[in-house]
Amino acid sequence: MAANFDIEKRLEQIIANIKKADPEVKAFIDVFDVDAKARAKEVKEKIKEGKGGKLAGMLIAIKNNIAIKGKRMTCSSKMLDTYYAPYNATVIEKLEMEDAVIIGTTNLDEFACGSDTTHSAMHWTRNPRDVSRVPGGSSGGSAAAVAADMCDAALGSDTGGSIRCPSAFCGVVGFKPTYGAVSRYGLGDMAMSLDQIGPIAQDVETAERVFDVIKGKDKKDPVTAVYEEKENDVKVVGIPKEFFEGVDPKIAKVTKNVIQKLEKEYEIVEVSLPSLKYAIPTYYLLMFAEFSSAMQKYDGLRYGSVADRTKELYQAFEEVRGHSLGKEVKRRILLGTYITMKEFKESWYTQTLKARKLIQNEFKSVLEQCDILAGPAMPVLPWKFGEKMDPVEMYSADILTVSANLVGLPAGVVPVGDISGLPASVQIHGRHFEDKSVFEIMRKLEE
Amino acid sequence: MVWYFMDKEILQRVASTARIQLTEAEIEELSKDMDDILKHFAEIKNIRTEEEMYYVYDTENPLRKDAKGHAENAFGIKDQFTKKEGKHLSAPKSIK
Repeated sequence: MAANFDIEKRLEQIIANIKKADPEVKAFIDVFDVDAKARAKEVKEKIKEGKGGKLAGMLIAIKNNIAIKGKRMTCSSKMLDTYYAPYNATVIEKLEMEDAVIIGTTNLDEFACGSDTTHSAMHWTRNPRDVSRVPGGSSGGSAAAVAADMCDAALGSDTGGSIRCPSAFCGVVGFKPTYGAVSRYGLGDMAMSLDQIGPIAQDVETAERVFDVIKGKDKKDPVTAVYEEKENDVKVVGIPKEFFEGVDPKIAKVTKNVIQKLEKEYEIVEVSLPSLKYAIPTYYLLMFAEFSSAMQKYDGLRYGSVADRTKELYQAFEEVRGHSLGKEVKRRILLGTYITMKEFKESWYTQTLKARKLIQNEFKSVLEQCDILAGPAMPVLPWKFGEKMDPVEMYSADILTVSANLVGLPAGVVPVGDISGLPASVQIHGRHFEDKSVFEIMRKLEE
Repeated sequence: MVWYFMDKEILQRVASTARIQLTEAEIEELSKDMDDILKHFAEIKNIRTEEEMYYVYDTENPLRKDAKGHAENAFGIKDQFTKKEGKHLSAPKSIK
């Protein structure tokens, strides 16, 4: 960061943008303007002395399912609306170590259950590109905050596309790192074998700078023990034909044209992933099972909402969960409980694990034929509020994003064009720990 | 293999296992929604493979050896209890 960069002026501009845009967009849950001003003053001095960290001067918003010590961590649920995190998530420690300034916390679908941020118990967030439309989800607040210039970058979490869907819908850059590349310590977990924290930003360079700071091993998240970054050496770009099936023809046309331009520098080959048709049921059934397990801790005793202590314990649990959790969250817990019950497990859960293996084998085989995969990010444009109320229809919109989580691959989205004023984005998948290859192609597409 | 779906009776049993109290209206609506979702997702029964995948990678055992020590952020956790008198922290009784 240049010594003459004035972070305090930039913060003033960001706070003014929030005051102007957020009453309508409603990206934030809490804004820390007082804390941010104090921190910006400290960072300004460090920059002046040439001692600023790698993110000195960057103003960052945080999805409200990531723990910030002393701040409200609601997960956009009534269950946690009075819960204050007693510690920092590892990603927060890393951001602060490199002098990023946290500006506030952003809205999400309750416990990250949704694809449009209308399942938040706090409020609906609107898409800054067209406020009559959804911002995508579940990290809809983070993507909307970036798109409306209410922060320089944001953190989201991605279990089946929750960074990439809202980034595509709001026309910004979003990146889901390789599973195990970024610590999840301090994340309100949704599905432990799928979750990743990652950056959302207005450009690829900023997203990569944030990723470079938050990545790495962390003894508090054993999954990161396998972290080992690999050099990028992209020669062959694969285009799976199934990535374009059922996609809005306007999105397919724009994204295909842009991807074809990569042939100037890379060999382009068509590949096939026939098991992609099983990705939605496999992802959702697996996520239901893991989510129902993760949600058992919300009992009205340990976190947030308080159970009625005059009643028998289990009755008190049932009541507090019954009135504090939203419909979509209940639906997912109940489905997860159902498919893991002894009499149903063999047909549902075990078959889901087999389907996951099949999808993993197919991606592994295809990524031996090429170095990265390219295709559209979302099959549809952002829908209007109230248009998609049927759960099966909403789940189907995740068809292009869930595989990266099932297989653990890095995947990023970058806006490449406009369709009637709404953004169209390309999604890039890479091999495990070849996150830098994904960034390389995202940069090319951004150009 | 028998494939079961969802009805109101099964849902009540599931809700009890999941410890979620549902109203009659919720049972009506959710049993239909959940049955639709399961029927839509039943296409995975066509998959023929024996291998199962639980995790993306094999991970190291994160458990440490037993040792004396204090929980990290113990005081922060204590602040989360809503009823406390000095060192006494209260929770509802679990046995009638």
